[in-house]
Amino acid sequence: MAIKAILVINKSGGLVYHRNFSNEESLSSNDYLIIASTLHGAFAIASQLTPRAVQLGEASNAVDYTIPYIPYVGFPRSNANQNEKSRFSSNNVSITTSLGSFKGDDYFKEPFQSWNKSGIRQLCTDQFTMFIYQTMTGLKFIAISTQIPANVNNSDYPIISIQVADNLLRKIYCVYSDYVMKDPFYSMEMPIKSELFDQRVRQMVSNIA
Amino acid sequence: MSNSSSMPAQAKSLKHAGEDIWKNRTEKVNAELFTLTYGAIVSQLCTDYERNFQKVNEQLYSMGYNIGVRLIEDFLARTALPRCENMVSTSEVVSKCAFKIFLNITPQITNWSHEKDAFSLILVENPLSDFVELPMDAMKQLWYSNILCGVLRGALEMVQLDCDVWFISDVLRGDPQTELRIKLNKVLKDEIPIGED
Amino acid sequence: MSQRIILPSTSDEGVFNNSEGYEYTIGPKQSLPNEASMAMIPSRLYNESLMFRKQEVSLSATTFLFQGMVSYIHSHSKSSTEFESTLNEHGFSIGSKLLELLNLRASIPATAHSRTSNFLGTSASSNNALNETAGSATGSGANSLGASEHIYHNHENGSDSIASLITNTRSRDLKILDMLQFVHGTVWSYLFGHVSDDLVKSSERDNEYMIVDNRPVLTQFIPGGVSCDYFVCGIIQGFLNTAEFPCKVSAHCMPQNGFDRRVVYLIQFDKHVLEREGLRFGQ
Repeated sequence: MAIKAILVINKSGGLVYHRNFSNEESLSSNDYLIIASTLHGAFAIASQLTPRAVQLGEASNAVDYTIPYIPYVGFPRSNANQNEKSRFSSNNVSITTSLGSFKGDDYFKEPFQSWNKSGIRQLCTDQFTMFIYQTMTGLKFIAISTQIPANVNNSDYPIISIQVADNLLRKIYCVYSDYVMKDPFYSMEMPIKSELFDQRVRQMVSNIA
Repeated sequence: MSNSSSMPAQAKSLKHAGEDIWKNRTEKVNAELFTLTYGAIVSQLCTDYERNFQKVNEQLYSMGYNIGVRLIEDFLARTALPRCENMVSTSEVVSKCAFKIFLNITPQITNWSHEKDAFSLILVENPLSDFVELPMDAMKQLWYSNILCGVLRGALEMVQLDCDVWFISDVLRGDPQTELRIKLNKVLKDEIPIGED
Repeated sequence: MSQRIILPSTSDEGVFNNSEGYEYTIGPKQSLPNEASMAMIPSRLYNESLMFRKQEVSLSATTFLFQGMVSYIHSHSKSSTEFESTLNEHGFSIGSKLLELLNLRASIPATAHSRTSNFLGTSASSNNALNETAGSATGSGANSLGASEHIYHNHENGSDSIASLITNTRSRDLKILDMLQFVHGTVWSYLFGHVSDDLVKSSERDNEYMIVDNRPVLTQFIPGGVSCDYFVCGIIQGFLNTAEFPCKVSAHCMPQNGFDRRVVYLIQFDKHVLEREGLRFGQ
């Protein structure tokens, strides 16, 4: 499994969702809460440091925050080819291919701008790599994946690039906008309990091979 | 990217983006289901508040606010639009993208204040109030579509724009046009997520 | 020769003025065909609401509105029973309107205008054939997609009424099964863009029927339980009760084949509905 965990942090730094996908022993809920608020703080500190680093590095306008669209991230591989028809066929592929309020066979199809310009977008350690997608409202969607090894030439190794991660995380944001925001029993800023949201996140992550 | 582009060009691309997302990326339903559901809400509120229309207006506004703070996430996830630099581009996004994508209408933007911090939207069509005719006692007091003001207020606040939103006139009340006013009070700079600049 | 029909709501001169609204205890005044020659402008409501203009809003807008309504009702309810019954009432008011509206729309002849193809017009005739309902309703949904929107340019000033086009009102369904077919086919495709996924008669009790929806449009994003589906229960109940088929409708969560939000609407008719049917159609 390439993705080890998905986290959602609200704008005040509170953890509202976490799901562990690896077989390794999971942290306690309390540990996750601490990770979330630590990240929230580290993200803010890093943001204060970034501009100077960027200035030193390159000419002012050179940074491009465009994320390319990568087709069918988070969908079953077969889907990428025969993507039509499946929506309303009743048997095997039912909810799996429903994109809720989003029409078509993918949530979006255009490259897009990252709102996260000076915060941490990717954090590499020898244990894992972490990707952070921050929305204009201040939500953070976080993916933790297996580490990128030094010799990245081995194509069999399940590596998640930052582009794939940003595509995936924006899709989880789309799922959040359907299954969390349109749930009348969800209280804003509070932990997400919706099993529908959880199911769809797990499904999407399981398709990242 | 949008810094250097001239306003008309930007407005045109927003119009295009709004139409494209409405057409290709958005699931739709019969507008009458929407109209009927809203009608049921308003008429129930009128009963609940014993035809105290001032109270009904407030309740619709607060219901709208609660929708707006959630709806903004749908809008942003769907469009991934960059932050607006000023109220002029905000007005374009609201009319050509938000109204288009959610309600398939594009209100006309007009009546700018001198400081360019307030503008009006003229709603020629309004799916909330299709087939609606107000009874006499409601004509002078009820803002039938007041939920829209709450939605805009809530949604804009979540992207750190503190705005007042209210109806100036409504064809349902016998006015010649339906005009909705949006006025920026201030940009909530402290609440802009760190990492965006 | 033409006689003026004087209605309570139109006999008051004050109501003639469009800008003053109407008295809510009486309701808006109607625009009858024979009012055309009068010097007043009748309410356009009746006329306009009869025609089906294929207009759409986003699923998001609708589900957000539903979300707003549900959380308002939820916060104002003391018990889950009260919550469900209030939601039911909201739906009921819609259902009882749909009975008249959809029947009238089904009565407008499709051939009345050269470029006219109005909602359900095509299915009106075939709807009587019981077994075809599902198919024809689907067909009409699809037809209406391409329907020309403006049947009524020349009627918009109230100079004529759409009602004058109706020569034969679609005869109202009298049998339980016909009625349910109309709900399963016509009502469902009007509201949700597709016929319901199944219509089943209970094998255990004579008075029970089930309408199945694999993916309920309004509640598809709401986890846990079916209490929000009582809105649609109310629509069904309002429709059937107004048609003099008194019944109770409840929602049941029954996931199947990966449809994790699949809902079964259980319709329980009052006993006398069955007795009436037995007397009338001798079963």
